[in-house]
Amino acid sequence: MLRIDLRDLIGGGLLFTLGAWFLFRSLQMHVGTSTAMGPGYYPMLAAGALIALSVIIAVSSLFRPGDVPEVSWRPLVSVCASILSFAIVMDFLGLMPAIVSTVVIAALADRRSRVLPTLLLAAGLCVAAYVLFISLLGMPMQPIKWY
Amino acid sequence: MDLLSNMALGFQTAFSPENLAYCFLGVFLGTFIGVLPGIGALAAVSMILPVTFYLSPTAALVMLAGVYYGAEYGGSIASILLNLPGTPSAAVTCLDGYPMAQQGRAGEALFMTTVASFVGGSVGIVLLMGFAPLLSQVALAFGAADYFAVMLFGLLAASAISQGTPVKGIVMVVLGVLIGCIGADLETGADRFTMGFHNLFDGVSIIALAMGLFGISEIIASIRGSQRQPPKAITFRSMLPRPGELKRSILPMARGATIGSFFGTLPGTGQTIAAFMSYAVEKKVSRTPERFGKGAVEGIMAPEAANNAAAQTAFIPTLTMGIPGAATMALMLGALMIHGITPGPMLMTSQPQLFWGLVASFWIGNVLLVILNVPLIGLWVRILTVPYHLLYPAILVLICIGVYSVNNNVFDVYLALAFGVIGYTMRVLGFEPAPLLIGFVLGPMIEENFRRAMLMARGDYLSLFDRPISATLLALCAVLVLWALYSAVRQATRRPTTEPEPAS
Repeated sequence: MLRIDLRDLIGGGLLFTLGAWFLFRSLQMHVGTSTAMGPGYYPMLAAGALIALSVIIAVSSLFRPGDVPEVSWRPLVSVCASILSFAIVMDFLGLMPAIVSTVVIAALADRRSRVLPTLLLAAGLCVAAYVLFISLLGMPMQPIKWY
Repeated sequence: MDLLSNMALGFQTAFSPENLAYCFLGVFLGTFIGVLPGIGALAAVSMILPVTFYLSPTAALVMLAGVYYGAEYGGSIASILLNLPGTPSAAVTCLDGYPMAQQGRAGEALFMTTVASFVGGSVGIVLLMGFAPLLSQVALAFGAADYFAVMLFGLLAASAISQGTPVKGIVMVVLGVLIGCIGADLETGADRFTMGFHNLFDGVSIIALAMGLFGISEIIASIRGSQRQPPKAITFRSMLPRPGELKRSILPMARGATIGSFFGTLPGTGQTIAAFMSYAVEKKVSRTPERFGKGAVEGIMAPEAANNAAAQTAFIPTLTMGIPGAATMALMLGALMIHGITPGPMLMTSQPQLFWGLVASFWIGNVLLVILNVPLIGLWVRILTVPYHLLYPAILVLICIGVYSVNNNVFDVYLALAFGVIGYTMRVLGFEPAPLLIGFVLGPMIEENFRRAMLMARGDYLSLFDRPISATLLALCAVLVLWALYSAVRQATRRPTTEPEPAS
């Protein structure tokens, strides 16, 4: 337990930053009047509401104790890296290499993963994805890009 | 009878081989994904959504709806056997379902939830058939100001009645509205908040958003806590309830279905709240409240009936007014719009075979679920024995392919990743992602109606109070906002109780 509600303080702060960015950008657009609203009018109202609410959340968090935010870093980093690898490998090498890299990097998130089952899973998914998405559904994806 | 001829049309549509096959596939896949711990109905629907682009609109909707209530059904299996809710609304089922399983009554609990789900679902469908045509007649008289007011009310109700503090819910809705603003402006085509990414010009992809917020972030959160015991096998004989058990459950089911139907119809509030409410009510009316939490059958019957009734009645505002009754309904609306169908009061007259076919498919789907759940229960139990460290990489691959396939572009994969990080951050900080999705879908519709209403009223805000419907709803909105602010202030000043966060 902490003396202040750190989770709400961080959350309020992040939302305030986002709100400020949205407000700044919408004021740069044509705002217009309530009769003839420009593109910036409605986002301006919403961003104003976001800022007001985030201030309420952040300020009220100072007056009550709260839990320590807990982040599981290992799953977070490896899952993100695996999705990132999918996007990059998909672009350069095609679907099957992308599946293999996604599975292998994702498996690092859990300490119980073993090499052989992971590789077998990746191979199985390659076959399944080829049959399901390319053969049956006819999605326009290249299994492997040869240069 | 009008209703009879409509239902005849509906069953004709739903019994076409194509729709029947997709109904079965949807229910099957939904139960499958719902059984997997940590992956809820929202993630299930968003995973299947890209596949439905290749189908006809009716088949797409029938399948997605099947996934939706199938996942609700499947969620209760993991709750009872492993104390791991597959969907947030099934968390209530854990309270009494898991103790029953520990007492060796798992089969019985599974059978009873199937009965309760079927009864609740049936009540919900009957109400949908009765009320949807009436409501769409009323909605025809709605002007832009009324739509604006209904949607605003839906947004606020979604956030105020969700778990956690109301202010945190509302702030998520507003953030969703702002994310919905990203892309070209509806009227002028001006570029809004795209930061120079031309891929964002058509707006943020709802699939990337939903997969990130619900799929990716749920996986990150559930990897750590996945240590568990494999469940025991369930025999068919063990599923037979004790004598008198079914009869005693009639009243709890009726109460659950009533509560669920009510909360399902309210725009923005979903099954989770319905399930929690009916559990609380059951505990209050019970003559032996001390049995709750220790394996009371009423404690699973009422919430399951409520949950499934709400799952069906949530379609009422969605299909008649185009206002999502729950976060999952927001995805359904997205699917309709992708297929070029405008949801609203005209849907029932312009697309009768879609509307009534969908309703008829609910009946078929509900019967299919009973068939899937009673004889095939062994299959679902076996899925739970697959170790999670082999499941989640496969789910991640499916998510990546699904997001990629929408536009055949890796940009959406990066976008889903960004929303996954945002969703996980929200989870860690105790903010709920479901209101954000509702805000994202309703935001652009509210803007459209707001601008139209203001244009007609020459920019006079007070004109919104001229029409009785919009005036009443806006007054209710004001009450909700004041209540949210009051509870925030009260929470800040009072010495808080240290209640544990519900496991998500």
